[in-house]
Amino acid sequence: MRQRAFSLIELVILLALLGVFMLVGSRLFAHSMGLSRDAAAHERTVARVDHLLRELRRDVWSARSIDIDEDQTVRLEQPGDGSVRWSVQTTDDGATVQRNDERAITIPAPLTFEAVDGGDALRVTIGRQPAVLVSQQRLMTEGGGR
Amino acid sequence: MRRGNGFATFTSVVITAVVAIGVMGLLLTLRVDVKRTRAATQSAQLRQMLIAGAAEADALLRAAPSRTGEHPVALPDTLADLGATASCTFEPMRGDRKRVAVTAALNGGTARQVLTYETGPGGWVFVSAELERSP
Repeated sequence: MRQRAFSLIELVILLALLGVFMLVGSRLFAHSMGLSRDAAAHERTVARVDHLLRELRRDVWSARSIDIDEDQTVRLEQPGDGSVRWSVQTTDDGATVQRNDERAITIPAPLTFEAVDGGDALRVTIGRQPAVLVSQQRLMTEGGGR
Repeated sequence: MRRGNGFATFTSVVITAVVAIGVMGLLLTLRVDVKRTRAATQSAQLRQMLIAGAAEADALLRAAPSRTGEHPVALPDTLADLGATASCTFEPMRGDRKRVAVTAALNGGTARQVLTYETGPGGWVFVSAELERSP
């Protein structure tokens, strides 16, 4: 028996279906690739923020005083004569934070400093997430009675 | 077997693969967040234990100025049940200074700080606290 050929309508429908599949498939593919890329970028950002907070926490921990200038520069006076300075530059993409003149750390969110608990702690707000860093030095000297 | 099954199979495999990549990306992000939240909670707890240990070390040193060796810090039952430990190690006096290491451990993570004291007219005077290790 002779096989029936495709009609023009069937071919048009097939092409339309293929087009829809291609469109949906490419969108899905691009979205999936974007998700994978975002996940990797997110992980890198988390690592940078964690590193920043770890360094800052160590300095605040041993700080005799926490002073914040109007331009959001934090001066942490250390035991002895030294002091550590943390400066922030807000950019369109986020903020660049620098400890003294060391290599700057860039994060994709604004960052602000605020002294809390009577100067015994420093509140660092990255984006909308606050983290409170305590000065053990001040707790031992100034806040022992509190 | 019907004709056209090859195309349907190929399409479904491609779409499944693309969705799987997307789900993997989401799971990776979620895993990072969960891991980070857990680490941050543990880290905060360890620092609390260091602060408690420092207060205890200070009191112990004032009660017995020549104290040396390791002394455990008493922790609340809720923490002790989780296997948390904290201790103060009083080093022998070196010159006019004495160092006390406070160590805290919980779920495989550890944190450590060193307190330095120097002799003063009324006994030991606290000089500095240095966070040596914090997860």
